[in-house]
Amino acid sequence: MRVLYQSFGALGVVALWLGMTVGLVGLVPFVWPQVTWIPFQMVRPLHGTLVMAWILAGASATVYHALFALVGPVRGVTASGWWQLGGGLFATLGIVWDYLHLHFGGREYLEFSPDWSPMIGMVAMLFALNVLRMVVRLPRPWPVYAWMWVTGAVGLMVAFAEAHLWLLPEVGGQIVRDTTFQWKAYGSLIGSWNMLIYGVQFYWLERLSSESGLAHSKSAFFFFFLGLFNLLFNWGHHLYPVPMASFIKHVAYAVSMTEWILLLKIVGDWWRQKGPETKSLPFFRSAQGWVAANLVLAIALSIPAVNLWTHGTPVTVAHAMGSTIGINTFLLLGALHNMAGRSVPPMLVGLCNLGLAGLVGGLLGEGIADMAKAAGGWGYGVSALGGGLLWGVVTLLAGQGLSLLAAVYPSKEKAGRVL
Amino acid sequence: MRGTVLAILLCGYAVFSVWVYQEGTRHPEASLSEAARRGKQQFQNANCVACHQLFGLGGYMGPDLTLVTSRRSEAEIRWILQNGMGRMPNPGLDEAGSDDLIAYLRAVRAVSSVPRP
Repeated sequence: MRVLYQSFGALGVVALWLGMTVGLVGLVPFVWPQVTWIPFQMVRPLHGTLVMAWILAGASATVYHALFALVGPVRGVTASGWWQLGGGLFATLGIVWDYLHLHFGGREYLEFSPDWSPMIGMVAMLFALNVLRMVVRLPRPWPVYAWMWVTGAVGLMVAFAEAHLWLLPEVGGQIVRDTTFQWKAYGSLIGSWNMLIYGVQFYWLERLSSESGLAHSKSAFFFFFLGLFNLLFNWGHHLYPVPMASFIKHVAYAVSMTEWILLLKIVGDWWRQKGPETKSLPFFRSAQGWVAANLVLAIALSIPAVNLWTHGTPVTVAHAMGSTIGINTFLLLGALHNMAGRSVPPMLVGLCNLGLAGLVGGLLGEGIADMAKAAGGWGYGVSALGGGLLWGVVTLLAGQGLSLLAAVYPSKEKAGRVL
Repeated sequence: MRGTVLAILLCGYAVFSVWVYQEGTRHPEASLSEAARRGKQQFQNANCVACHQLFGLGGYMGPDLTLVTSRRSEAEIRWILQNGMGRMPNPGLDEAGSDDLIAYLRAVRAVSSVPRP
């Protein structure tokens, strides 16, 4: 099992580095519009698929590691985990091959041919079954992170299936229904992998903090159910311009505003210096900051009057980057380091934050200029600088073996010790 | 208690999803003709969404195409689809493919302008 989750981690880091490299290439035609030879219709899906591969592989690595530490080996899980890894790797490589040959399915974020979807669905099912088989062995009552992993793993499977409803003529042949169900599924898909990753964060915070019962507290479960509520119902804010029933938009607005509760809790804890100790976990600490920042942006974007201006501008991309990198990636990087018992120099984490601030800030600036019809591309330049810095740090972390690639294959004296 | 809350949420989700499918997305102009369905397939095969948006959803390299059939003539759109333009590569569509994709874009435009009853 140890080699299994280490392999997921290592492959995930490779996917992250490749995804970030392709992402930087994708920024070039925005910064220099005279560059017309970069096939953006290929670059964008390459970037999207590789970073999703990182998130799913990273989540698999960290969840398997935690569950193995909690319940020990479970018969059949390791073998099935290898099938999951093999299937995921085969599908990812096949999709990349397709993209390089300009063969697409053409659905945003899932731009690969639906011919790959049965394999990806099988991979998702294997993961969900493995998680269930391990979680049921935990003593009752289950900690909150077990609930998060189960709902995340099952949610991934269900949302991925829902994202393919367009293949039915009744859905794909009706524009409003097709678009609505597409983004309904995407909202739940992202919420599901967020659940997996937040569960990993909770697991590590409980392990490393002095607060006993952290993962069994009423507060923890309140926020789990709030998160699940958002996973299930908070997708409509993507669809304000789509002519669906106004009731859906009202529900979307109301559900989005429940994020205020989360934001106020984070700010309140920070104000009162409450919450588990994260000083020793620089990536986790950074992620908390990005959660707050992205909540503010998400709440703003969910207000219809604001959404009217920001929808279809780089402000949306800023939110996507801020969340995917600042929250998901930072949490996964932190967890991978914890798994190997290695610390990241705070300065490198600081540089990551600086780079991400540049990337997100540049996109926000470009988006605001776009709204004012004054876009000139300077924002993309700032994003490119920030993105480049971030890429440099991840390259350093991965390439030097100080952390990720070497960390997931720890030195011999640590090999027998599961953290 | 937690199991009950979970069950309520999941039941609520199922009911809401069915309602969204039946009533929430009902629209008199939203069904695609055969030509528009073929055009939608062309749109997906060329991965137009990487650079363009429909209803503000998609990439930002090119313009939003929701109302493009109001902004440009059919001849202009056909020329672009068969030759490319600027940073847009040549999608390599023939006459029939162009007609189908234009039919799809017209259908999108029709949906966006007809208020939901």
